[in-house]
Amino acid sequence: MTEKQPTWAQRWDAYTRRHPWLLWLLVLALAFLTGPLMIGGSSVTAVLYKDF
Amino acid sequence: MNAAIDFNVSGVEFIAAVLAAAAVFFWLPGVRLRQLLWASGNLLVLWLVLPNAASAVALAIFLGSGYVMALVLRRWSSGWLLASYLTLLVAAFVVLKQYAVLDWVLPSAIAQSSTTVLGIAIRDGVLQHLLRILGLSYMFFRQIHVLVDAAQGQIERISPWSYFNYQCNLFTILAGPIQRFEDFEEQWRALEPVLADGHELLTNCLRLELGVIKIGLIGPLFYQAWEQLQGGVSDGSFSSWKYFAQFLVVFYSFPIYLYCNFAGYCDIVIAASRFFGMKLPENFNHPYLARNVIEFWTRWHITLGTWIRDYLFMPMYKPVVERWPKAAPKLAWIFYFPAFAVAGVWHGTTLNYLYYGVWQGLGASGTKLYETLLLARLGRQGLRGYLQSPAIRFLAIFVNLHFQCVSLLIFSQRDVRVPWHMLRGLVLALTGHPH
Repeated sequence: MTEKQPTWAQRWDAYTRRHPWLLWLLVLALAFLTGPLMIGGSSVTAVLYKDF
Repeated sequence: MNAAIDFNVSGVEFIAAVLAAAAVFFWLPGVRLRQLLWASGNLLVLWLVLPNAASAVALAIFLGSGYVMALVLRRWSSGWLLASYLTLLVAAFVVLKQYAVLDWVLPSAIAQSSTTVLGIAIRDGVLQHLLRILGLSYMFFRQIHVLVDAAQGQIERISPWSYFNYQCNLFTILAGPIQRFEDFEEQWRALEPVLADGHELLTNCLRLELGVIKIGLIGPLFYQAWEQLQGGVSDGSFSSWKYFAQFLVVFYSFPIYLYCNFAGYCDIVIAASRFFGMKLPENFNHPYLARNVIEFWTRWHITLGTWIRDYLFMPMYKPVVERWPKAAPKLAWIFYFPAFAVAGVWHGTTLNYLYYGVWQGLGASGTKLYETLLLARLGRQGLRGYLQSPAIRFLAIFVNLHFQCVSLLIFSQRDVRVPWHMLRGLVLALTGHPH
């Protein structure tokens, strides 16, 4: 019987467990990117969900 | 009560409030205090999104009646009682959402009348612009799920406290995911941390950030392209290649935007609720890689697809299976159409959503019929080989992707003539007859 190959998500999880600095770096870098996006807001969201 | 504000899960106010509350949540001793903090958030969101007291009263009646009926059905399971209440619930939903169908159903004398009943003004025959309950469509489907499951004896315990917080959960009130009550209740009673270590906490933060990027950066890029160009091709005039290129941008942009927006929203609310010890069901799994319409609904808005299967498709199909067990699989295709058509109408009150539902219904029924015919022709072994062929798989994904793009072209246009003009113009241009 062949062993099931790990998914990309599982590989990524295993890799970032071995290299936690990478996850920290990504979270911090994206925090700088997403900050202005959050402040800018997105009126598009409101438009889309008005029907619900 | 204040005027309703637009609830934006990718906004700094929401994210900052979530992070601040998450920082203290598990410091609170005991589950009751944690539930109280969460319920306060739910009430705050309701206060922000309900535009007036009449809407709050209507919501209380809508949910309160559902809770009482669930209690009754748990004790005395009755098909007639369930059917009668569901009929009333559907009628209330149609009126509260002000479906366009009311204009056709109501006599013109009522449809044009203006009056005040119990302090609630009725203009032009309906409760126009007065009652606005954000997230009502999702509450409606959750309520049906609870009632049916209660009647079938699947709900062990239900209290007004858990039911209110289930229906008005600030993370799912806007647009799902449609969580099962049993799943919510079990986690609500515990409210224990679900993020096991620092790695899971960071991964969860990353998911929240990626959700914000999908909603706030990638989605708007495609939305702007779609919005700016759609006017130029809305009359279906493809007199030059420039218009053809514009149409392609419009055609592919909206599906990408919608995916980014909705999947981004789900990333945010799923990640945010995990900070508070609640695992919400996943809603997306690479939907545009689905090979047919039925598979698409197991990858796109998964919780809605599951709801359609359990509460629209199965109630129609199950009696057929019980009565004609051998013939039933060959007849299954018939029941996909009404199930998906109804689900389409649920998306909104205007005609474009009806056509969207009909299109999805045709696709789902066609898929099942095709599978039935293939099975009859190739046999089980042959069908397996057919499904495993990489070329067939690629072709199926390509066809389904374009089927969904057409579907969202219909979905995106309030004026139902526009997608018709566009597609007609495209066909005429491709066959050498541009108008």
